[in-house]
Amino acid sequence: MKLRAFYRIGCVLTAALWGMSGVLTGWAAVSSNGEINVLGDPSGQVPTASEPTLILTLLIDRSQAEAGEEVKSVELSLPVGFSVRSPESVEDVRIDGVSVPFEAIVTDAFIRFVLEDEIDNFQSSLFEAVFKARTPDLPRTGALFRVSLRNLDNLQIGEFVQPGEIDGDPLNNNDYTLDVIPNTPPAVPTGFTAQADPTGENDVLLKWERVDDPEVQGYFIYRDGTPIDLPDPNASQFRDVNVSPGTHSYAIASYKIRILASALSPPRAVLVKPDTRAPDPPANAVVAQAAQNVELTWSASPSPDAAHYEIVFSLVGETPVEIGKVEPEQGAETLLFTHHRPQLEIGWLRYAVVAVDEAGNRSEPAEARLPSFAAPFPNPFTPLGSPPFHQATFPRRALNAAEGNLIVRVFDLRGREVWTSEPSNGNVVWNGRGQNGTLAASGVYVYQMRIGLNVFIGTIVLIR
Amino acid sequence: MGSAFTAVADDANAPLYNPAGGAEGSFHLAFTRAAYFSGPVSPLVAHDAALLAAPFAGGTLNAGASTLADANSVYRETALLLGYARRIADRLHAGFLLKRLQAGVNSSLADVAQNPYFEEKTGVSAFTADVGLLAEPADGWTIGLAGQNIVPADLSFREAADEENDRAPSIARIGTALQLGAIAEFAEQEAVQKMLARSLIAVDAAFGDGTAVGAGAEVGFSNAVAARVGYRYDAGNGRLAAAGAGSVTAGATIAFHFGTALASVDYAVAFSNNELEDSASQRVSLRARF
Repeated sequence: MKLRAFYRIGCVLTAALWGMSGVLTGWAAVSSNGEINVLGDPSGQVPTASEPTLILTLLIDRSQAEAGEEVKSVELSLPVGFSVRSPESVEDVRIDGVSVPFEAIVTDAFIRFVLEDEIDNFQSSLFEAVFKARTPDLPRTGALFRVSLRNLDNLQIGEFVQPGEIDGDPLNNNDYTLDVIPNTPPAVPTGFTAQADPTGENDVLLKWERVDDPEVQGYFIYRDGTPIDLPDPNASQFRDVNVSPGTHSYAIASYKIRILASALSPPRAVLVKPDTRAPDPPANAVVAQAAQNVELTWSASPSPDAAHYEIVFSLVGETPVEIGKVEPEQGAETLLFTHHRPQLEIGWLRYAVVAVDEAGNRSEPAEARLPSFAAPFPNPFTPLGSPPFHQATFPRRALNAAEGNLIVRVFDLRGREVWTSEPSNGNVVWNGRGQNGTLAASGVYVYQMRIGLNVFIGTIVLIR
Repeated sequence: MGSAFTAVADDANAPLYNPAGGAEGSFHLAFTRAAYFSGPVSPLVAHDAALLAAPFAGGTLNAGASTLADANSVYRETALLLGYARRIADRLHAGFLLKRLQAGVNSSLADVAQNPYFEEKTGVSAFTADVGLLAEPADGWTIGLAGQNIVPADLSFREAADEENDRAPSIARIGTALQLGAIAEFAEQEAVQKMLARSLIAVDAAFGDGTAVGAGAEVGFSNAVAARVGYRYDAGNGRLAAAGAGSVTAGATIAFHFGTALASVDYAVAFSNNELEDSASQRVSLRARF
């Protein structure tokens, strides 16, 4: 509330200086939100007596802006203990991802980013400034930065910019405060080993002793000097997948925050051979008819190096043909392939999905079959067996285009009615059991499919 | 005759109803086709049997084979039969029938070849036996008792829990028949007397695979022509809670005599009162005695 009152007073004074220019009504018409982060670290923490690279991110909304609200500069007030060495400490200023010319003005209390070309459009602009800042010598929590926009006359536009999630990462620091933590690196992980996968995959299996420090947030695993971030403090092993064949050097470090890591462990050299192991096959392949399409779904291969999936189609007994490829989606456990097929052939339509890794190794296929029949199928069926042979399906297709509900009756050879279906506007399924749930005996049964006056009679064989 | 043959079995078809039946002293041959639910030429299901009865060791040796198959050639049951019957007392016959039952599916079908249930086998077989007694308490009155599949015969294609195995059902049959010749003397007209002498009535009951009762009568118009009617009711299969079905049967026999030899053609039709549009089943039998 104090800020708001201060702002109102400021508005009145400024209006008096500017006369009756009409600017008076436009002061609050530029709205902004922003956040400050350590570059490359989401924690909102910085070590004491260090000089991390910070990034200020603002969203400046000028869609309602009026004259006098052109954004010429952005001023960042520094908390006590923070400082910026010189204008050269500012590495970059970007508007909507594009670096722009600027001048940096640095004092003990603030740093101002003065744009060569003010922002005068009537849309939202993403402002980013990357700079190095020295941190205090003593730990503290909630060190608060403040940000204001300034116009061509170096007058503040509106209130201080409000904190909020702007940079698209809701898991990182989403305001203007940073916590200053002791600049004490964690211990170096011990027992670090690296071993090529013995099963034929071009993976490297890494193991180490977990660092017993509650402040440790994760590990950096270095392959040939390039870090791999493993943000799991409890991890003690890691599989480096799809490593190019050859000799590689691995090392590990623990970290409290990304910019406060331990020294590296002693390196381990590993000879990686080409990938010769087929991926594990996909699972749970299911095929179903949907309008004029056939949809095939399956569970992703558990192998992390499955690069894509090949879809193969055939009528049972005919030569399979590849009909498509599907790229795995990050995090997706179930994948989908749509096969446009307005008219289905008669028979069992066989679909298979094969996982293929980056080296071209192919998994065993996961198969699914779509029955497309004009008579009950499968015949025979085996209620004690596995799908899709465990139940008999009576397709409406047997009665051509007859309209109405389908009722199926099943009789034994003595004419006794063994089972009667409920009326259905789709296909009817019989699980081989009588009305009381008891399994019928093996043998031939006579069925009668009826839609209105249309009747189709035949035999179905149950085997148990 | 509503399948009321337990106490009537007196030809080569006898072992199918009562192993104690059979014709003594001569050779009998019978070829029978039962066509379920459509015409005898292209039925939905056909049950064919060939049976021979021959005098042997003071009794009758019965042998034969039967097969049941669907029109789609998906499934086939066969039975090989070998039995013996003889008189064991003045008015009492006994008999047995050994049976080798087989059931199989057509392995050339995709639904069989692709089904892992049939990976191990596409056919099963088992042995079992029937036994029977046929008594004649008085002239023209017979009582028959038969036990079918008295030896457990498991025809499961796979090992299954006891309640889910596929044993051939054990059936007990009892029936009685009365030759109407015994009452022919009460008729005034000679023609009626002769007709009654060639006629009989029979009732029958079966227990096991659901209860069934049947009754029928045969009227012999001459040595060459006879007609039969009957009714059979198959009570609902209690195990499956299936609905019962009654059926009216009618049939006729035309016989041709060649000295002591005889050939006959027998036809019967049964109409069930169930919901099936084409519920008529037919049976044609060619029989010979020499």
